[in-house]
Amino acid sequence: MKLNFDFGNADCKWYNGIDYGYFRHAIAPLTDSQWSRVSGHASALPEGYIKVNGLAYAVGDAARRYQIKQRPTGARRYEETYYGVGLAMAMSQALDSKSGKVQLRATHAPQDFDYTRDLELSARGVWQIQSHRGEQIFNVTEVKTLDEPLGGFYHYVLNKDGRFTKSAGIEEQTVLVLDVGGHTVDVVAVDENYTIDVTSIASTRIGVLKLKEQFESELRYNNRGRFKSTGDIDPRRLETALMTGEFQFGKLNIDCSNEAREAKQMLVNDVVEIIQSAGGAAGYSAVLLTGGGAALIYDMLCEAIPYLDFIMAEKDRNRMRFANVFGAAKIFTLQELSRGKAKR
Amino acid sequence: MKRSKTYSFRLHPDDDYESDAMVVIETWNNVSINFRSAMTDAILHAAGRTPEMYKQDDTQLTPALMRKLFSEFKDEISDLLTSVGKIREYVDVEDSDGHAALDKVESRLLEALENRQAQKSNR
Repeated sequence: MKLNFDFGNADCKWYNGIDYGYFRHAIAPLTDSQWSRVSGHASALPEGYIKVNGLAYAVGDAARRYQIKQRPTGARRYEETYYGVGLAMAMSQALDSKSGKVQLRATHAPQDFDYTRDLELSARGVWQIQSHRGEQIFNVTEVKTLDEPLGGFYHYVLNKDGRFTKSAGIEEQTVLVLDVGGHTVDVVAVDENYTIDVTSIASTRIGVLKLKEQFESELRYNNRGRFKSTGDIDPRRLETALMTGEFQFGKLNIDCSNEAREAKQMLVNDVVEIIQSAGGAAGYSAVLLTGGGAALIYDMLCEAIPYLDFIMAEKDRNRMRFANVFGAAKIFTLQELSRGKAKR
Repeated sequence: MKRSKTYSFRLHPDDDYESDAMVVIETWNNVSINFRSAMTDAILHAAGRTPEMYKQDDTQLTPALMRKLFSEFKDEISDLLTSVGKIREYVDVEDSDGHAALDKVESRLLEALENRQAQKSNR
């Protein structure tokens, strides 16, 4: 079985070659008594609760109900009891089998390149999983890694079978691939004729998580009467509000277009600076955007630099967050084809 | 190098319409209706043959019917292939070891990945 996995700083995305899905990056270890309360009364475990090699966790939205000390970012995630838990959750959601060997294709930010060995070590091995899908046991026998912006680029230029798609139509252009993630914005330069300059791969520590924090804080402040007794806000609602400019507060729709625009503008300014310092319009004829964050700021980026051509790696904005895992699946399929290993 | 070309139409699960089609095909398969037979029936039906007529036909007739249908419906087929874009055509070229022969761009794309993998193993 093959699984493509992106343990993002904001969301964890997976793609099994047919289906794809994601869950929030939030992992809370549970005590025995917390686990008993969750598992004791129902015939099946609720979604989001998982036991991994005997240890209990709440993952994703379910983890919001528990106190999370601090959410590690970057390479600090690459621990068996952290990355492994996220991976176990992804395997439980993505793989229908009860057991089997898994070949993992994991994407990472370029800044974590020096820590990919840690990623591999935290993923390899046997995973005994107990979740709402029952008991499963997987053995991760192979781990391949890929820089996220490369994933986005491969998604754009390769088809599902891993073959080059001529309709990409950027052969005569120099393209800057820009992956807007939760914690980093990553770039890679692609010269004419699809020649990727791997020496240009770089990460900058800005991202969507800050944007979301800024938006929530402004939204709460400007509507402090309404939000006075509100605890955590559902991140999905915040995300929708960022996209639409309207926050659904019970039956009421709160206009938050100004707050959304201001928060996005901060990220746009940072991203414009990254594009300009990489060479801007003088160096590139197009910018290929990938990652979930890019879908949020696409329109504003087009306005900010009107003389550059912005292309989205995935035509469906709602699936932009999956572009990198889709690309990972494609390039590793091409690699297997070249070695005669892929199933026809 | 053996250049055996295979032309095939494939459904893509990450496309909404095609994924729906795959669900239908799987549902058929689960109730033992073979998709290929169902398509053959549909083609023969479009050619004006009833099940009673084509039950006795030998399969040799199918290519002729296909040619006839393609000539009759070439505009619609052309539309599907070009404008609607729901059917894609791929050409696989294999070398004598059964490895897929890559074109220049594919080799270049793979080279970047392999350079990066080599960088990793050299660290």
